[in-house]
Amino acid sequence: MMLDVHIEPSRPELVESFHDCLDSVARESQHLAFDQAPPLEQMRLYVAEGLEKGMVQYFAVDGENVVGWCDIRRAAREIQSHAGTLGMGIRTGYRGQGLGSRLVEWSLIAAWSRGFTRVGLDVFAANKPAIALYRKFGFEHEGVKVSGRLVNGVYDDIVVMGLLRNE
Amino acid sequence: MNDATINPASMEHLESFRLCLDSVARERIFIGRLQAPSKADMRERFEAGQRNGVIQDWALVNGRVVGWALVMPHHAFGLTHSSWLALGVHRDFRRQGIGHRLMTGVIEQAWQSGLKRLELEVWADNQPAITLYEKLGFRREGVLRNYRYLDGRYTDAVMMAQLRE
Repeated sequence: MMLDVHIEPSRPELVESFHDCLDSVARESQHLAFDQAPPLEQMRLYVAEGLEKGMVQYFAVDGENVVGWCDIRRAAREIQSHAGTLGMGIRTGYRGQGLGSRLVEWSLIAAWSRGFTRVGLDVFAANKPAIALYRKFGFEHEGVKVSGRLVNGVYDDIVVMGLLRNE
Repeated sequence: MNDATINPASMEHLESFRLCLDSVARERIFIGRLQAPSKADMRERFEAGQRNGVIQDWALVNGRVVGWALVMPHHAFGLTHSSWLALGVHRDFRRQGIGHRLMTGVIEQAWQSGLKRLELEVWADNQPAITLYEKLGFRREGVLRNYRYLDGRYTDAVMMAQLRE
């Protein structure tokens, strides 16, 4: 299948579709610390407030539909305002085709230009494709939260990764 | 020389706690904030914490809060067996074992509440705290590089945790 999916910055008109996309990935109960999306109104607020506070957010859009996202949120604390936390997801059916790379690339460029000097993330150890993607962009393994995840009686580790801006 | 008592956090001592938190924050060395929240904000956070299952003890000396320890359970999907800990002791009351007593108390309550994993972050240059946490059974899980930027300088954070079957 040839994809005609473009990457664009977050905007309010896309939040409803973003909500559907996040909900779809969340309901897999595999990759995110959600098993469903938060209520739409909460997500509208999250995006609006986030963007106001310097959050970076890009969407992968197929036609009018958000099929993937990547955001880098600025830490709330003053002593960590240089540090971002990356989160992302791609709808099933759109994976393995480079969309994740495009989203992360655009997001990192924006983050560095907005003054972030560190981007960190948590990823479940079972999510090998995501870990490989982050490594490709230079994220280093900073630690492991042993048995940090527990779903249906099964533990998984959480891998903590970080990337520093080249000075 | 240690007449501190360890008590559950209570609204009655909230302002005294806020002043203690503010004092430690303004040292700009140990914790994640540089000043305490306002009175109104503090009250809101405290009430939210009580609703959300936060375990919190305060050390009191003559009715004054001189230290705190808290356990905040995570609420996200797949993370609810896990929690995040924080500790602070006022500068005039350190090296008396208060931190150890505070931590021992909240850790025991955390296990009793069914939590399976306790985690914390500590600045890499805070060796006394790291030594205390190791003594309490925490193990190092990693290092978050340049996790703090303060007064022109970056500091790493050490991630530590302990688990229970």
